[in-house]
Amino acid sequence: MLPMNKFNFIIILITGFSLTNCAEEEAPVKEAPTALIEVDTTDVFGSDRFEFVLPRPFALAASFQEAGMSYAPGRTNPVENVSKYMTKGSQLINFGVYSTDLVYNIINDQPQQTMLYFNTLKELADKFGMGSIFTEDDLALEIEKNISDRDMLESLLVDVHERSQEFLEDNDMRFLSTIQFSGAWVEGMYLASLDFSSKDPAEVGHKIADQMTLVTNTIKGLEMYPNRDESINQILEELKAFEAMYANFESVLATEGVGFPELTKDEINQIATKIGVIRALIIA
Amino acid sequence: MKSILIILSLAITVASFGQQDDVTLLKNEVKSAKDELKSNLGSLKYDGSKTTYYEVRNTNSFKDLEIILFLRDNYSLNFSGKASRGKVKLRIYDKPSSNPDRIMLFEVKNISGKTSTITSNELNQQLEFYKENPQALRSVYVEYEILKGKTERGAVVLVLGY
Repeated sequence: MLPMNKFNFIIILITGFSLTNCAEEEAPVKEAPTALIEVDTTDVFGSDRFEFVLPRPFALAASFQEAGMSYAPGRTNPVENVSKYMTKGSQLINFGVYSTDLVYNIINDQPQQTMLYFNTLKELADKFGMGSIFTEDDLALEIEKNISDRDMLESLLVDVHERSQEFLEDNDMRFLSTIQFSGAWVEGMYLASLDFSSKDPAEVGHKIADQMTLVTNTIKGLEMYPNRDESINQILEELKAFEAMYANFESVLATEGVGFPELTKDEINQIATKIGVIRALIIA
Repeated sequence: MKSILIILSLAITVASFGQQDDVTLLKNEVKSAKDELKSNLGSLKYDGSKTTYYEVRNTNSFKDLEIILFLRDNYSLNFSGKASRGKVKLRIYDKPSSNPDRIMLFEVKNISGKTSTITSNELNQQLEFYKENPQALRSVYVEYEILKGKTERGAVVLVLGY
């Protein structure tokens, strides 16, 4: 069957409503608005003019690890915080935070913490109706069985990531994957920033410059999401302030948009402080 | 009046089911295209995917996609047009569409019904051909040009490997 043009379809509906109003007493039609909503859901399958590929938490963590991110207990978002996240926005953004925390524990060979963070992720997914991604094909069981096998876990977490993206796409929540990603990115930057001061500024500066591409895209993605609540708006503003702060660093201005800046220690410290503030806002 | 309303309700229901069928078919094609690309990765590790959905219209239209490359040493970019409809040109540039000086590094005249693969190393080599000592690509910009045609929905699938 040929797909019906949406515009024509709306005209038919409007006509239908007009006719219904004329004949209100003899035939009230209540089903029509539902039909309109059903047709609208097909728009999930129309991508935006510009999109970008959201990196997976493992790729992000690997990049942060290269930047010298080391392990220390107590750096991740405490699992007890999960009960505080009551809005969909805070749940989604912290789903991203806990995804990075989970990977952080995996790449640092912490099986007990890995299990703890995996269960927290599951709990959070249940809260916003995405728990099914873990029950399908006994994925949760597979992860529990392979909790000490980093390669196997990486492969299984690819499935978790894919399924969460598909879930958001299938449920007209495509925009929300950027919210999830922004949490994952800020947490990765935060964990890496705790080691900035002990590293060579030239190397750290190079990695930070790379990561700034992602903050730009995260901002674009969050801006495209029309139903931002107050907390997401606040995070968006902080990310914009962070991007502006970076763009106005003397070392960044000196590059004139070509090559990598030689960030000073002071600039790197400012970045670490600002990321700490944004992260505190997210996990609060 | 009742009969008009019944006909309208039926039309709405049929149209709605028709669209759902199209979407289900497209989703299944996307899934099978993605599975095929993933199985073709061989010894490479899978690093995510992106499906770009579009609607063929009566004018040419464009969809852009940015791929971040700095997270891995060498990415393999695998495209499938097995869920595509109409004619879709695929081009990869070093800069976004807003930059008039961007350089085209790769092109597929029509990805519909086909698959195509390119690595980030090959794209860097291509850039070296045009520019002296260029900085390694941190991102690339894919442009899908959907040529005008019969109205229908389609999708291009990208799978990343490393």
